Amino acid sequence: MLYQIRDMTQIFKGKTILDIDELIIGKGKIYSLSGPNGAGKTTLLNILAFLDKPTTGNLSYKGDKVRFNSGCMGKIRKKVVMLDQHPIMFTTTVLKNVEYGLKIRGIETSDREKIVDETLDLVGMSSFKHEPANTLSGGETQRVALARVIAVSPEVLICDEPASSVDIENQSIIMKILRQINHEKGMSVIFTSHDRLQAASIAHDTFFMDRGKIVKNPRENLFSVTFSTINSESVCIVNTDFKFKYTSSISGRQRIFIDPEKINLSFESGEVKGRVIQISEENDKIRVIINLGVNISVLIKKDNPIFIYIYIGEVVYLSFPENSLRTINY
Amino acid sequence: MELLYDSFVSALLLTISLDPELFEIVGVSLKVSVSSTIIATVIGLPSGFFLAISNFKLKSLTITTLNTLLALPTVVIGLFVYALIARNGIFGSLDLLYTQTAIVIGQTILIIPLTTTYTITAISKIDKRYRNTAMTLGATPTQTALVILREARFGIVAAIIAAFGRVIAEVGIGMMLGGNAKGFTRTITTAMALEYDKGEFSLAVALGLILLTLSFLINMIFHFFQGRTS
Repeated sequence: MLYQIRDMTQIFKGKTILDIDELIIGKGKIYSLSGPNGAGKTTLLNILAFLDKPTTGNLSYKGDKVRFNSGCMGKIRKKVVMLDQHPIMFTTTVLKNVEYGLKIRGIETSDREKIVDETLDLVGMSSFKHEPANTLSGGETQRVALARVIAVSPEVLICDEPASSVDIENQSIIMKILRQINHEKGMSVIFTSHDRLQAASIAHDTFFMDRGKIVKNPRENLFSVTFSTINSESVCIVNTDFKFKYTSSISGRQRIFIDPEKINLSFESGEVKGRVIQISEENDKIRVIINLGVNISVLIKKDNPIFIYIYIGEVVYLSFPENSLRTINY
Repeated sequence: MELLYDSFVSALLLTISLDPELFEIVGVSLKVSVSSTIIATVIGLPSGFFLAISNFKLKSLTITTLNTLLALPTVVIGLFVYALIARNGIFGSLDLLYTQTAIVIGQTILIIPLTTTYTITAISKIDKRYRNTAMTLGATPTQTALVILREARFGIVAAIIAAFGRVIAEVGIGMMLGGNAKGFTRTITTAMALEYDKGEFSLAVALGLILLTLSFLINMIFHFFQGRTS
């Protein structure tokens, strides 16, 4: 176990921006953190990077309670490094930027040069070594900033939207580097991303945040619905095209999450009809996005026979077992 | 017009001929001004840094007070320090009145608010991401402070230059605390005032030209650093 959070809140100007009952983050994995703007993702990352002290609650790192105001923070902070969403370069050369962390760790000049060369090579920025860092483009800055944090070989690399402000080419390079350092160096990686597919492509696990809370699983398929009774049958209504029977005592307006792994997909029959608009691979599963007036995500295993016959534009039927639906309460 | 022309020619001749009295006065001026600027920087820089990065109840009031002190007339400082170092003052026994040290003390008091407020401005302008970047890379509080100071270096140098510009051109403190003693406490500005009183314009104009040249150079350097900061 890498991190353990218990009963943590972060209050700023009287407003609670983070409220987490419990969160456990394992070692050596890649975690992605998703959620809308203002969900508290960056606030959580700043606490995990030991840059900000939470208002209340406990944070443990590798089993030891983190004491934010104690003298040992310098030591623990050297183990976790955070890459900002819009990183800033010190007004000096790329070389001096990348070697800064090594220099303050007292690493010998010859070793420093070797590590700087290796990390700049890893991010494909070797030819910029002696360039002034403030003349780099956005994508180049992001890659040099990544080299700067990787150079110090932290146990945990925390990245706030590492690919949000760069072009597609740089996005894939950055994601590839994150996967590579996790695989080769065993570095734990925690990153936030708005791009669900991009996050899912490299993350071993994903957390979803909404209004300062960790919401279990629902990074998608969140709907505001009305539970109503039509012809003495309980019906869950999302919109005019998307409604299905639901035998429960719930009533009125609710916010629900439909588990994409528990939705039944068929070519013959179901409760609602929709059209396949997107298919993508996600580890050992296939994600199918179906348009029902709103888009809904369905995850099917690769060994599911239906997988072979699904094409974009295909008409499919969905049904929702009782255990696929959960109401969300904040 | 003829008077001005004659004075200007005589001043140029004095300067070109490396007149010993002229360069002695310039030497005293530079010595006291550089000394007071160094002392004010040593005090104002850390104070300004602390005020910029910390949050305490009276911070706003402190900064307002410092800004008010920027407009403090030199004669008020002269009078205040005179009261302290005069024979019957608290520090009278130190025999500081009419010495270069007295001028340095007065000038230092004059420019401490300037170096402090300019440092506050320079540090406050620095992007907060520099602090977080240094900290996350493992920097100690001292190393983080050095990173911030390094990034604010142009603003800080501009503060030092502005402070030097203020003291090299001031006359009140030099006159009241230095006494304008020839070869000892006579500065460019006090000498100019004396020569004017005597009706000897050549030396006054020569000193004025040197002072203008110095001011021009100081402003050039100041604008260079201001440009680099923005």
